Amino acid sequence: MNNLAPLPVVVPLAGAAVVLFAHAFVPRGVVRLLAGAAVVAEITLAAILLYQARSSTVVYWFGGWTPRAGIALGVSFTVDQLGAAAAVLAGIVVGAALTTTPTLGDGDGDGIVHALFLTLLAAMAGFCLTGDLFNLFVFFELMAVSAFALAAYHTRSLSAMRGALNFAIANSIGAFLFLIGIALLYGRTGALNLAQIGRYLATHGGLDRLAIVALALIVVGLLVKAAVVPFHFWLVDTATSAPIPLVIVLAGVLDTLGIYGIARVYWTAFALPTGGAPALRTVLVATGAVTAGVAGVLSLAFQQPRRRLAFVMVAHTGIILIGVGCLTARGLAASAVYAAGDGMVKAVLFLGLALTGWQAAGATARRAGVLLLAVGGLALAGLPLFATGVGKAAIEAAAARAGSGWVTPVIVGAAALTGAAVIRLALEANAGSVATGDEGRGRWTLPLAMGVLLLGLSAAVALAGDWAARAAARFTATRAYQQQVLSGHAALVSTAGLHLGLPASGLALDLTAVVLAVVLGSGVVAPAAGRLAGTEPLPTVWRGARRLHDGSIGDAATWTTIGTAAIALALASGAR
Amino acid sequence: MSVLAYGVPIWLLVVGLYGIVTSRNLLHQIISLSVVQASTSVLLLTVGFRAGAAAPVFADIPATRPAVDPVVQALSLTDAVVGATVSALLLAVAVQVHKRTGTLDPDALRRRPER
Repeated sequence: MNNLAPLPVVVPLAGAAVVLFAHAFVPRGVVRLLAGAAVVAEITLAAILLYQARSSTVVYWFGGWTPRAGIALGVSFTVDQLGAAAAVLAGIVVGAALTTTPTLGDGDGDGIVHALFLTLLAAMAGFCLTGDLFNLFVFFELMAVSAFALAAYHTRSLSAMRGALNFAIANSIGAFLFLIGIALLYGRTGALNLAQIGRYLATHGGLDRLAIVALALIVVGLLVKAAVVPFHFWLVDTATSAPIPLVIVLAGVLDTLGIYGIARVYWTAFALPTGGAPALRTVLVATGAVTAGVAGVLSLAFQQPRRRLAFVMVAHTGIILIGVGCLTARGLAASAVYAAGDGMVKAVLFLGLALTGWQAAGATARRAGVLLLAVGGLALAGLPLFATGVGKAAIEAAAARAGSGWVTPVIVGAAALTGAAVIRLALEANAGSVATGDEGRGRWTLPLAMGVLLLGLSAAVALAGDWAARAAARFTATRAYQQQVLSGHAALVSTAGLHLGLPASGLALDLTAVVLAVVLGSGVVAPAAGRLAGTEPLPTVWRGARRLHDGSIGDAATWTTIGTAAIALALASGAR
Repeated sequence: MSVLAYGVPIWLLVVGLYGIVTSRNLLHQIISLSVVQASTSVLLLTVGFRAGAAAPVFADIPATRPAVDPVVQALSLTDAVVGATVSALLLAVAVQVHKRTGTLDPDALRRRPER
C-alpha cells in the first residue's frame, strides 16, 4: 500500500484551514507565504506520485478497505501518470494565479481568497487521482463550489454577480445530470468503483440502453464543466466578470479537467463493452469540431478583451476534445500534450492582460503584458516551438487515423482565428486602448516571472510527446487497470517503441496557422479584419451572436437541455 | 408501482429545468434548481429500494434480514450537503443583486448586447 496518494488532496485542504485560521492575526505577507508553501507541497507530492507511477498504477484504498475476492468495497485513489501530471499542472496554474491576487483590491479578503484557492486545488488534485465514480462527482462539486465562491468575490459588481449566478446554476445542472448518470449506473452494476463498473459491464450484458443513457448523462455533466458549445455560456460570462486569478485557473486547467474526466470514465468503465464506441466517438469529435469552429469565429466578434479571450478558451477546449474524442491512445496522448501546453499559454494570456492594467507600474509593466500576450497569441496559433504546435499536429494526425480527417481544417482555422484575436488584443494593448477592469497593485514582476516560466514550461512539454504516448498507452489499457485495482497484481503494459511523432504536414499546417494569425491579427487585410472586429455595420449573424451571449441564465439552461437531449439521442440511436 | 417511482424523478427533473428556463424571479430560479436536485435524491433512493426490506441499521435486527441499500442513502446525504451549499451561495448572491438593483428579475441582469 502506498501512503502518499491522498496527500496532494490533504495538504492543500490542511493549508486552507491553516490560512483561514491564521489570517486574522498574521500579516498578509505570511498568509501568501503559507498558501504558496501549500501549493509547492502539492506540486512536489504530485510529482513524486508521477515518478512512482512510472511503471504501473499506484492504488490506495482509504481506511485499508482493500477489495475482497475481486469486489471493491472501499474508495480508492488510482494514480497513473496522466492523472498525476494533471495534478502537477493544477498546482502550477494555481501557483501562477496566486501571483495576481493583488488585482483583487485592498486585501481584506486575502485569507478567504487563499483558502478558497487551496480548496479548489485540493478538489482538482482529488479529481485527477480518484478511481471512484462518486468520489469523482464529489471533487467535481467541490471544484465548482469553491470556484463559484471566488467568482462572486466582487459583491459590488453587478456583472460579477451575474457571472457567478450563471456559473453556479449551469454547473449545478451539469452536476445533477452527472449524478443521475451515476445513480443509473449504480443501479445497473451495483458498483461505484470505476474498475468494478467496467468489469461488471463487460461481463454482464455490455452496454444496454440504461448504461448508454447513464454514459450520456455523465458525458454531458463533464462537458458542462469543460464549457464546450452549447454548454459554454456560463464560461463566457464568468471569464468576463470573475476575478483574474480565478479566470487563470479556469483557463489553465479547470475546463480541461472536464475532458480529463470523460477520458477517465470512458477508459475505466466503458471501453471494454463493445457497442458504444463509434457513437461516442462521433458525438465527441463533432462537439469538439463545432466548439472549435464556432468559438474560433466568435473570438473575433467581441470588443471586450476578456470576452474575446473567453471564446479563445472555449475554442481550444474544443480542439482538446477532438483529440480525446478519437478514443484512441494516440489521440489521448496528443490531447494530453496539447492540453498541458495550451493550458499554460491560456494562463499566460490572462497574466499578460492583468499586467497591462497594473496600476502605477507604468509603461514597463504594460509592455511586458503586451509581450506575454503577443507570444501567447503565436503559441495559440500553433508555433511548433511550444507544446501547442506539437500537440495540435498530433491531434490532426490522430483524428485522420481515426477516420475523422475532415476536422483538420477546423482545427487549423480555429487556431489561426484565436491566435489572430489575441495578437489583435496585444496590439490594442500596446496602443493603450484596452480597459481590463482589474487594477493590480504592488509588485508586478512576480506575475511576469510566472508568465515567462509558464511559457518555458509550455515549450518543455513539447519535448514530452513520446512520454505522453507511453503514459496514454497505460491510461487506455482498461484490462490492466481493472486487474491492478481489483486484484492488486501489477499488470505491465508494453509501451516499448511508442512515439507521438510530428508529421511534416502537421508542421506545415502549424506554420500556416501562425502566418494566418499574424496576417489577420495585425490587420494587414484591413477591411475584412475591421469588419470582423466589429466596426459598423454589423452583419446580422454577428449581432445575433452577441445578443445570444447577453448573460441570460434561462437561455443557458435552455441550451444545456437541448445539448443534453441531442447527445443522449445520438448515443442511444447509434448504440443498438 | 416501481415504474411510478422512476416517474417521479423524471417529472421533478423536467419541471425543475422548466422553472429555471422560464423564471422571472431569482428566488424562484434557485428553488427550481433545488427541485432538480430533489430529483437526484429521489432517484438514488429508488435505485436502492427493496420491497419489504428493513432500514439498514443492524443494531436491533438480525444481520441476515434483507435491508435496503445503505450506499445510496449515503450518496443522497452527500447530495443534500452539496445542494445546500450551492443554494446558500446562490441565495447570498441573490441578496446582493437585490441590494444593488432593488429587483430579483434575472432580466435586470442581462448584459447590453453591444459588448
